[in-house]
Amino acid sequence: MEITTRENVEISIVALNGELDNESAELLRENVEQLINEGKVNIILNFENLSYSNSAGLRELIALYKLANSKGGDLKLCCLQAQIEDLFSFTNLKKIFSIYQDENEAIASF
Amino acid sequence: MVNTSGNVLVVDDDKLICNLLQDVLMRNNVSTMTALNGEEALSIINSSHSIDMVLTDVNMPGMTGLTLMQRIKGISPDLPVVVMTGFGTEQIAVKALLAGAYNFCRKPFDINEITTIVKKGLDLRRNSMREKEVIPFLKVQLHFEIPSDIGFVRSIVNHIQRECGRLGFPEDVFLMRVKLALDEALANAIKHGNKNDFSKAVGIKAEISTKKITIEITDQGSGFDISRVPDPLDPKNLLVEGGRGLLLMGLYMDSLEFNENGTKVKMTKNAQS
Repeated sequence: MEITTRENVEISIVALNGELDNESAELLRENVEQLINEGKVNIILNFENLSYSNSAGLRELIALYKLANSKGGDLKLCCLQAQIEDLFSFTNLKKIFSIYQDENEAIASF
Repeated sequence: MVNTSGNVLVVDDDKLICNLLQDVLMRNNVSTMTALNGEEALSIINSSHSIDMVLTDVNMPGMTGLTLMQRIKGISPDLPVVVMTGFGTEQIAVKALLAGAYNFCRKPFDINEITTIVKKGLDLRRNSMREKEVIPFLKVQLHFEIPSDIGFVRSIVNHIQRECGRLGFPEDVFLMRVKLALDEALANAIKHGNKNDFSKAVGIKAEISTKKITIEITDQGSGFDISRVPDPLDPKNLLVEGGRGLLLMGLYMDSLEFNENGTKVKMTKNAQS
């Protein structure tokens, strides 16, 4: 999985490209934890090019969501592919995460 | 070639060449159709499933023979394509072979050479079709015994996915359902069952057919009581980070059974569900 990050003054946008699994979940955690440790606590994860996630990926997302919130920020998601959206529906995680159709909508929500 | 039955499509913008090849092949009991360009050839292939081989010129106005071959591979990957090249165009022939051409022949033709190539190509096609006839009755078993290393999961999934593809188990069912359940079951056995102890093995048995895949995964851990796993859908567990793997395995497969002490899981997915 490839991770690219864009930042403006208040929001960091992290784009995930590939599959979120046992191995790449660690990479995501390292990237997002670093942002949070630098005080960049408002984060959008763009899933437009994320084709797969397993429960290890979901576990990491919940941990990062809790971490961002504990630092006074938030972690929101946008551009979910249908299969990923199903995963969030089946696991009731739509009740936790704020999910947006596109990046602009997610940015405007902060 | 008396016993050879097959339908060859000859594609050349030179009508004389088409007629010549048609005449030669028909005298060898090979049924032949002709097309004067790539578009016409594709139209014939799309409208008829009985073409067994394509013989195409490389240099044609509009769609070249190489482009035609690529388009044919997209429609019917197993259909043998022979490209006909002019003198001094060996590099194009090499390019065609690398791109998946069955063979090539040079113009001007050696009649014996071209009939031999066609005969062998039709034999290959016939054998390939016969092998495919038994695939619905084929069951393939894969058996892995791996150390408890999460790094092996992706390769195991890829091996099983490739075998499913070879047998014609629907790719979308695998990618959208089986892959996730298999991933979860393997991670469960390695991390929770064997506690990442490299000296403990995880056994994986997969039986694959066109209609169904059954996967059995066994670990060497102390087991667990499935009834005591917290329900991740319970609102009070929503923010609990783990515990969703079992839920997903059950949701994505048609059946999921654990043995009594939780060290073995057997799961099944039907192609049509």
